[in-house]
Amino acid sequence: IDNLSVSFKARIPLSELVTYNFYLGKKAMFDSDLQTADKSLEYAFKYCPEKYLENKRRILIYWIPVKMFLGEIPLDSVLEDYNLNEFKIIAQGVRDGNIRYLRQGIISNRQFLMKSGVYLMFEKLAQLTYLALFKRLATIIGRPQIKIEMFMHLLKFLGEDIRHIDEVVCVLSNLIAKKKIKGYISKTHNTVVLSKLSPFYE
Amino acid sequence: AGHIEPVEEDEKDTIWEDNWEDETVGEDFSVELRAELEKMGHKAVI
Repeated sequence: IDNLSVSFKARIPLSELVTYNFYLGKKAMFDSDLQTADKSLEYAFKYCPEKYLENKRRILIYWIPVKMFLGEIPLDSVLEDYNLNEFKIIAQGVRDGNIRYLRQGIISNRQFLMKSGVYLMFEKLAQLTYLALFKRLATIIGRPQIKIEMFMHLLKFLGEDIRHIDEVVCVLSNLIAKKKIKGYISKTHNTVVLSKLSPFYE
Repeated sequence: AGHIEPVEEDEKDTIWEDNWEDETVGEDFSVELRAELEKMGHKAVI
């Protein structure tokens, strides 16, 4: 539809463009094409008139997890306006790195998330939450060397079921491999050594 | 596209939090984590 000439596109009713973009965005989300999902859902949300509150709410249910993956957190006021209070504790968990909140939010809204088809998407937010928690730890420590044991301790403190340090090493290796953390793991010292200049990617 | 209704310019910016990565956001949580680390005996914690 993007390839259509402007004059032709102008003849398509707005409501159909909104619907089209909603389904396009939803499909892109399931295909893990976050950029397309974001663009389409943004269009759908922006051009869906205010009076169709329930439709805007449905768009947000998909747009919010996509945006969170892209590093944006919804405002509490928006969640309240669209009766999406279910997402509040989840958004706070991802923002602060509070994995306990994320897990609680997912468990208590399991039915809602399953029905909307975004359950797995939210499960995957755990990785971002780990990253936010690790960043917080790095700020607290204030040094480039961070003992993996300390991160493990915080994860356990927040209710994560972690039995062995290797599980934590695995989480951190993933974050390094995905270019979320700039640094390396020193196995002999059980330490993450962060790059001194900007250890976290934008 | 004459039929597209005008949308408030700032709408996009009022959905998502600004500067949520500021250190001041979630400061209470940091305090809680710090206390927990200290309890564990990490004296090096500032």
